[in-house]
Parts: sequence; C-alpha cells; structure tokens
Amino acid sequence: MTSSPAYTPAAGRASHHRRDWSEQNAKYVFLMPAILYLLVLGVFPLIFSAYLVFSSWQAGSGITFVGLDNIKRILVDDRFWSAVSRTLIYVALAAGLELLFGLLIALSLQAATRGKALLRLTLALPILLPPIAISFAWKMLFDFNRGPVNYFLDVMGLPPVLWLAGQTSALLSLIVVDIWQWTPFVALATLAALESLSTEIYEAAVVDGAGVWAVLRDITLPLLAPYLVAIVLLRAIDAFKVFDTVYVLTGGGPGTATELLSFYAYAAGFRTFNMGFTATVAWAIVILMSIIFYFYLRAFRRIEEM
Amino acid sequence: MPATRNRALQVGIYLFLLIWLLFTLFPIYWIFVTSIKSAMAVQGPRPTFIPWVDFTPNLDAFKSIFGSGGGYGVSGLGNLTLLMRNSFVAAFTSALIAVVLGAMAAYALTRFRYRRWKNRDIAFWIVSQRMFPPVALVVPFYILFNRFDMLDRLSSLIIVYTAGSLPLVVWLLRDYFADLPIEIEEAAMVDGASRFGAFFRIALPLSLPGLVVAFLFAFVFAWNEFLLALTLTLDRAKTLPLQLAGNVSVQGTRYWDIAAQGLIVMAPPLLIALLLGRYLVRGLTLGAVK
Repeated sequence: MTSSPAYTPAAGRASHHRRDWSEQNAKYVFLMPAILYLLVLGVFPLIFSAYLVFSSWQAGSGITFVGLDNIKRILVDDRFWSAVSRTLIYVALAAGLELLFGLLIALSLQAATRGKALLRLTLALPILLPPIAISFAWKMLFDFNRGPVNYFLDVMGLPPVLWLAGQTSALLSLIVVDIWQWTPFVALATLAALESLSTEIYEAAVVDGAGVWAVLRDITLPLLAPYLVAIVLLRAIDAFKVFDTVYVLTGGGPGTATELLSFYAYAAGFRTFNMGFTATVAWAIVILMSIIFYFYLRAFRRIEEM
Repeated sequence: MPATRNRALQVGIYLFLLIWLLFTLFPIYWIFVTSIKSAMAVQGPRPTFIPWVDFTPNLDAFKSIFGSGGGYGVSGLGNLTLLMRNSFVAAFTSALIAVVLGAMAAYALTRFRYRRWKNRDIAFWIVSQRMFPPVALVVPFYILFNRFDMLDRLSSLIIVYTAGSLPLVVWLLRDYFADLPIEIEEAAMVDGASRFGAFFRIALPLSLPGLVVAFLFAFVFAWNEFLLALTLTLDRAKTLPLQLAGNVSVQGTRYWDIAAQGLIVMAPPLLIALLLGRYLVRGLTLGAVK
C-alpha cells in the first residue's frame, strides 16, 4: 500500500489557502462516489437481508415480521445441514486439488525453458470464460451415451460412468469442472509469488550443492507458504459461492446429491417464494464462511509461529 | 526451482504441461466442434472429433439460432440480437461506470492520506465487498427492485453489475496509480493546475492501459454473470447466459444448437483474454500476491 502525503504547494501564500481548501475538497470528491455507491448497493442490501431473516415476504402482501421462525426452521432442516457438509467437502476437495495441481504447474512453468509466455496465456483462458457456457461444454463431455469422456473410458476397456447422474460421481464431476476452471488461477498466482522470491537464495543453495528436491523442500516451499495460504483462501471463498455449474450440470441432483449451499438458498426461496428463508440460508453461509476462515487463518498463524 | 538443465526433468515438466494444456483446451474445442456438427454427427453411434475426417461440418446450428422463424421450446432464439444487445449494453455500461468511479477512488487512495479511516482500511473494506456470496444479495435486490417496479430492466442489471465490479476495478487501478511517478502531477500543480486538472490531464492519460485492462475485466464479469440476471430479469432485459441456461430444460440433446449459442456467449471473453495477453495474467494474480 503506497500513499503519498497530500501535496502542499510551494507557490505564493495568497493562493495557499485556496489551494489547501480545494485539495481538502478533492480528497473527498474523489473517494466518496465509490464509497457511497458501495454503501447503498453493498452494505444496505446486506442489512436489509439481515432484517429479512426475521420476516416473511410475499409478492402481494409485502413483509411480515415472523420473529425467529426462519432460524428455527433452518436449525432442524436436514436438507440445509446436508448442504453444509456437502459444500465443505466440495470446497476442501476443489481448493485442495487446485493447490496441488496449481503448485505443480507453477513449479513446472518456472523451470521451463521455452514457450513460457504462450503457455501462461493459454493456461489462463478458462478463468475468464462464462461459467454457464463452460458448464454446457462439460455437460456434453460428460454425456453418458455420446460424451467423449465415456468414449475414452470405453476405448481403454473401462466401464462407462454416470458422471452427472450418480450419487457420488455428480459431486465429483462438479469438482472436476471447478478444477478445470480455477487451477490456472492458483498456478499463475503461485508463479507470480515464485518470481517475486529472491534468486540469490537459490544460487547460494546451488553453490552449496543442494539438489532440486532439497531446494524445493527446504527453501521454495517454506518461502512460498504464506502466499499459498492466501491463494487457497481466495479460492475457498469463491468455491463457497458456486452456483452456475450446479444450475446447469446437475440442478442439485440426482435427488439432492449436489445441492450446494448457494443453490439450496436459491432453490429454497425463488422456487417456493419464501424470500425470508433464502435470506436466512444466505446469512448462514456468510456466518459459516467467517467462522471457517477465522480458524483457518488462526491455524496458519500458529504454524508460522512455531 | 529456476530453469533447470536436467534433461529428464525438462521432459517430465513439458509432458505434464502438455497434458494440462490438452485438458484446458479440449472443452473449449468441444464447444467449437459441436457447433458445426449436424444432428447425425452428434447422435451417431460414437462421438465425432475432427471435421472433414469424422463428419462433414455445416453452419446449420448458427443459421437456426440466428434465424427468426425456427424457435422451439425455451431456446426459441428469434430474439438473439436483442439478447446480445442486452448483454452488451449491461456489460459495457456497468464497466464504464465502474471504471469512472473506481479510477477516482483509486486515485484518491494513492494520492491523499486519510486519517480517521486509514487508506489501508478503506481499500480493504472495498475489496471485502467481494467476499459476500451473491446469493446473499439476490433477495434484497429482488424485493427492492420489485418495490420500485424495476424488475426486468436493463438499468437494474447495470446498477448491480457496477457494484459487483467496482471493488476489483479499485484494486487494479490503485496498483496502477501507485506506480505512476507522482512528480509530473506535482510539477503541473506547481504550475497552477488544480488537483482535478492533474487527475484528468495527467494521471488519467498516463494510466490509460490500466484503465483499459480494468474496463475489460469489469466487462467480462458482467458479461458472464448469471445469478443476478436469473433473479432480476425475465424477458425484456434477459441476457445471453440466461438464455443459454434455459436449454437445461429442453428435452433431448440438441447439442449442436446449444454449442453454437455457447460459442457466442464465450467468444467475447475469449477474445478479450487473448487481447489482454500478459495483462491478463497480471490482472488476475494481482490481488493474491500483493
């Protein structure tokens, strides 16, 4: 974070006061529009949605206060709790595997001698693509009868898999799509971190005769660890919000096997017009995320102190 | 691990990268190749992979989705031009507003020092706006826009998309303005330019590449957005991803049509990614490493 001291003109005293005054004005004129915009469109809706947790809303009748009804309902709602554990599995597997593959790709790219720029750009492509469009691409790839994935399995003499319709495989398929789209982010962010590390340490280690694995284990990974903690955190935050791929690929099914939290919140409100309940599930997601990331960061601070 | 000369290791590295490259490109290729297939090529006994070798390509799917007559089920796409216009207007306008507001805020955060609420905390608060799951905002937005009779309006989408991309824009541009040499602005102000003059005549032109990158990121964010479009629009303000998602409920596997639509939704972000080149990687990884 760079911030430079406010400019104080060296010009004549007469203009000094006017200049100071306009400088003070500018300070707020520049910043306030964005802040106000986010207060109105970001903070206010959240407060309003916190109010909705204690309300029910119907298109005709408007908002009625219902006290703790929504909260009581969510606490005994089996579908909500299984969505919680399912989402935790999804986030842990997706973020964990993306870390593993991303780290491998980053290290490979750093060690590669040719074509780095092109590789980097090509690998980054999935990140910007519309989730809805890529979900359909994967829907075609995973198609039980005509999809190439099952065709390749068949060529290798393996039985076909019910990718999007199996109890376990459907969730795994969603994780595959997440890995496909977001591993490049982990890889590129890790590579940027790697490149920001000083090269002198490596040179010293090589002079000392350390092998590739020793350098990786004793120097690179420990230096990289704080960055990896942050990168995984960013990925986990996003993985918690996953909605589009669920909507297109499985619709939460088979049954409720892929009903992840954001999708459940949507389905619970917009399909039954119970907006208060959706607001409650949404706030439960926010609270759950906050708790998990608090302990996540605390655990890593502990490790770093050791 | 800097560039290594170990032969076996180099081979292993390139093999691994090659496999990941194929994994990355295959789904994109599959959308493309399916969009030029005939019904027969899609529904045949085994999947077809290569045009002119496996099957004869045609543009029937594109003709049918752009045509005005051939509608069926949800994907009656006689209004494809309207959908493209909606998507474009929503993405372009929201990105433009976000860049204007974001550039001002980013400039302020790098040029002034705030005391009661420190610069660092302001910047962090702005970025933290992105942490909340969109589904938490969907209900209040729906009820508020319903109350003011603004559902299914493009202006509503523009308003919420601007809020969605503003934090990212501020984050990207703050980094950009921090790297600009401050001396030029100081010199101009000594010569009598006001702070606004310094911003508009010096800082903005100098940061033009940064503004373009931020604009393109904001554009892609809005272009790709689905959940808010799903809940806030219905018909008039419908966007392309919403139309595409409508195919979920279409019976049968008209994959060639879906692929053609998917390709149209995918094309602008794909072009922008290639256009951005090295700025793409920089923009994507900025938040994580700094």
